[in-house]
Amino acid sequence: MLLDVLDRPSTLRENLPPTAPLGEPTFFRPTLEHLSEFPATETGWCRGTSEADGIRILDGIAPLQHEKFYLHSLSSRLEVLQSWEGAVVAIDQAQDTFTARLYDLTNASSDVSEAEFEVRDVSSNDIDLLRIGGVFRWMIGYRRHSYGQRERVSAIVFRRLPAWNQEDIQKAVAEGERLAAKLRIR
Amino acid sequence: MLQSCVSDNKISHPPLSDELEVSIIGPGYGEAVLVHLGDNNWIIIDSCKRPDESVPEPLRYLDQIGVDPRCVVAVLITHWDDDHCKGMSQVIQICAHAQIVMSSAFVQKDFLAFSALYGSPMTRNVRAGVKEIGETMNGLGAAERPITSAYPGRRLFTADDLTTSHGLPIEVWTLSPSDEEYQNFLAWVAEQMPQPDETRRVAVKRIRNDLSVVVHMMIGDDVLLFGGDLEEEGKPGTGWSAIMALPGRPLSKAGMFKVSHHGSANGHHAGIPTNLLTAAPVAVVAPFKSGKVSLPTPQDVTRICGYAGEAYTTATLQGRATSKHDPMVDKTIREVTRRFSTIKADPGMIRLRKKAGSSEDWRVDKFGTAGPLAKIY
Repeated sequence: MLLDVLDRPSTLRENLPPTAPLGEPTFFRPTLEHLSEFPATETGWCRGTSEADGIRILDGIAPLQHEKFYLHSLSSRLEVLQSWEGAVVAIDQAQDTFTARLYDLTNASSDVSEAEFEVRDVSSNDIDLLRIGGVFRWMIGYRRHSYGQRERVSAIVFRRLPAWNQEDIQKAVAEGERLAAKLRIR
Repeated sequence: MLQSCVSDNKISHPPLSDELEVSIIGPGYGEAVLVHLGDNNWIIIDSCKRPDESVPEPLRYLDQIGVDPRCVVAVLITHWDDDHCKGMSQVIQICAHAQIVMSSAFVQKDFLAFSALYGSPMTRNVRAGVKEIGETMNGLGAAERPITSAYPGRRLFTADDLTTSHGLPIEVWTLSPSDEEYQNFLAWVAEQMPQPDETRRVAVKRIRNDLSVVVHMMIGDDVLLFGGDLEEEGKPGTGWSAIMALPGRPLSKAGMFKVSHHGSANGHHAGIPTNLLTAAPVAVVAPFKSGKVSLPTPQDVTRICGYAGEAYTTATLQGRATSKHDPMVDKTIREVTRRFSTIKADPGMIRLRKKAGSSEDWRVDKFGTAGPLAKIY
């Protein structure tokens, strides 16, 4: 499956709806702002980094120093090889890991899986959503850039589910009272 | 389709009218129990479902042996964990004549509000026990079916309630949850209710199985004990300690034990073999396999085999699910995760049968990956 990456300035991200899409995920390529924060190394400022915008770059090739000037105008596509929907079931603060139950979105008939991830693999944007019961999507695939580079990527994107409001809670309480009144216990 | 490991015992053969049967289904993740009391009177304890099946395992088994689900006289819900209640709403709907037994905590408005709040659809795939128990409670409410409360020392059936051609007295008791467990559970439910403006999340099961119902059955001299998922924490008012101290509980010792909480050390109490079981009972474990947790552990196996005359498992813990992923995906999984495992649903069942009232031993049929507990690993 090939997904077009939205080629838009990172500032647009702030205008995204508060909820994550239910359908196909939207991807952003690494932004200049984040990359520029990475420390420079002898061989290039991007080498050795493992995360950009929530996407862990595994086989990244050290870019040229001047690549950051091209990034804004280059487009890329993500070919998803495998994706899961996950729910966080435990967080180990001592180990800085979390455990999640994973439901295969690529092959619905697959059995449920469970995995332990490192907290550092969660984007800083999503870290507040990492809690027990939090829902995310994990995708593995290739990002193909129009200039020919191919990267293997692993992305954990937490769903920004809408907040409960007073009305939701009151409705649930009313439903609980309604059903409790109907149920007969002996 | 479950296949018998013993060639001359077909799964499709129903028990004779004067035969007792205990069938424990454990696909490796989840469990369900069916008991034949005689004359086509059946009791179902819990329900489980395989990922690729729409029919819950207890109903599938009854269908395989040609039993009308309307012959089920009682359905017990020991607790609301996913692995014990999957498909329960269907079981209750189909078993239309069954008495429904569960802790009365499930009919409290606080729990029902919790269930309504967390049961609203947020995602297609992520499921929690709250959804199943919510559907079950809604179904019971819509059908206006009465619920029998399970509590310590509750006698569900007496000799007069069920008459069978074998003529043996039948008693069915619930021995838990204790009052303290009940209160603990409702306190936990109250803590789960969110504040306005809190980001939604899916419900995650309670770590302790506070509400687990333990069932004690007597059919003549045959005594059966079903431990559910009851755990022990060394407190007098909870777990097995509360059952040991329960005044007026049935004192007859069980010759068949469905080991509690998948045979874990948490589910064990030193008093179980001495106070609740006969000298060499038949013990059956439904294992649990999820992520880094595999139960029973080798130490658990040694302990259970030490007190049981015969010990069986409904499924093996050997092997892992075969990866169906692209090799590059498998490589990435290894690099990204500390640990990754697929919960392999190994269908298996242990079936025990014997003539009611006889002194003969249980005949054991093993289906699927079921076998001796000593060979679980």
